[in-house]
Amino acid sequence: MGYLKRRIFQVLGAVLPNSYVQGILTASLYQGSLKSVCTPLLNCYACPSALFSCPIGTLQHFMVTGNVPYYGIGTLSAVGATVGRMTCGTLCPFGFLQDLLYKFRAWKVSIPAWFRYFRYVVLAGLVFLIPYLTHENWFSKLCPMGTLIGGLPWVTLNVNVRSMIRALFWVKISILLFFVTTSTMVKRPFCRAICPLGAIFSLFNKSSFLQLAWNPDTCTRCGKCRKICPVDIRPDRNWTNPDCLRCLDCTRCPSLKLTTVFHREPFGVPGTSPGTAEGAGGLSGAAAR
Amino acid sequence: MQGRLIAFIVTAAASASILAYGIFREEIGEVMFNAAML
Repeated sequence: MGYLKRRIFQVLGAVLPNSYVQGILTASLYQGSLKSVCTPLLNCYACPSALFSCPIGTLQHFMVTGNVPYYGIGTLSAVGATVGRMTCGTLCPFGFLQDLLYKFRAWKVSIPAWFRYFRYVVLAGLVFLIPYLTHENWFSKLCPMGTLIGGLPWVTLNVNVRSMIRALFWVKISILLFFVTTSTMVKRPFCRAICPLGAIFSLFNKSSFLQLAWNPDTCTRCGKCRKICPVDIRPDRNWTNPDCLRCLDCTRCPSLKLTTVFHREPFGVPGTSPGTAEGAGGLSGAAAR
Repeated sequence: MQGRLIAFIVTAAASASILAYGIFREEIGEVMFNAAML
């Protein structure tokens, strides 16, 4: 997928699920039939313009009421089994925001790969266990995306909501500011270390229908794929990495391509691959961007 | 690759079954109710 094409998808992923303009104009929530659909994106359903339900909010609601969220789990696992984490890389509005923030000139740092395990702790703790025990949607209360497109618009639009501001609101604002700030220095910190939706989808990366394939015959191990990767991984070392967002930025290199689980030889019969090592230079321009 | 194919078929079948069971339990209505109560 081309760089511009992914940006267009990300804009659509941010705009289309939040296109209920009447909600902003009248300070109301959309309550039509589309709200029964869990969007496979981190998109707050308390946003006045949201058309779909947040999958994480839905999972928590069922845990709060002491029920197993079959519909939510089924929806997310069906998406994960089909595309893995591709929705994180190509559609998620909060991921898009982090991608844009990283473009700011700032001190750049890498975070260790083991940070990924925090998102499984967040998924198990804040989405399933603590809501079940306390009957409160704790992840939604702290979610920075919820603060950005749910909390802040409501505080701006509605005087009654403004009068209900307590200490928790400032905690939420602090969490949002923390991730906005760190996103200028670290590639997608929220997606890599916190996002419970990404944690669910990452479980399917190894066995999803869409797969990333790597050709060892043509790869020069130049490492340019890591420079352009939005989560700082090397797809040539582990192309089924649970951190991989399937954004396909790295497929501009002829040694990497999108394939399906049904393709046994995605690059053709070994030794007869049309790709050449010099083709890896195709990433040079992207890495410099 | 054969292992991945089997894993995909198993996960796809399992996720479709879980989703169908959720729809059968009329959880869609519960999701809409939750969204309306925000």
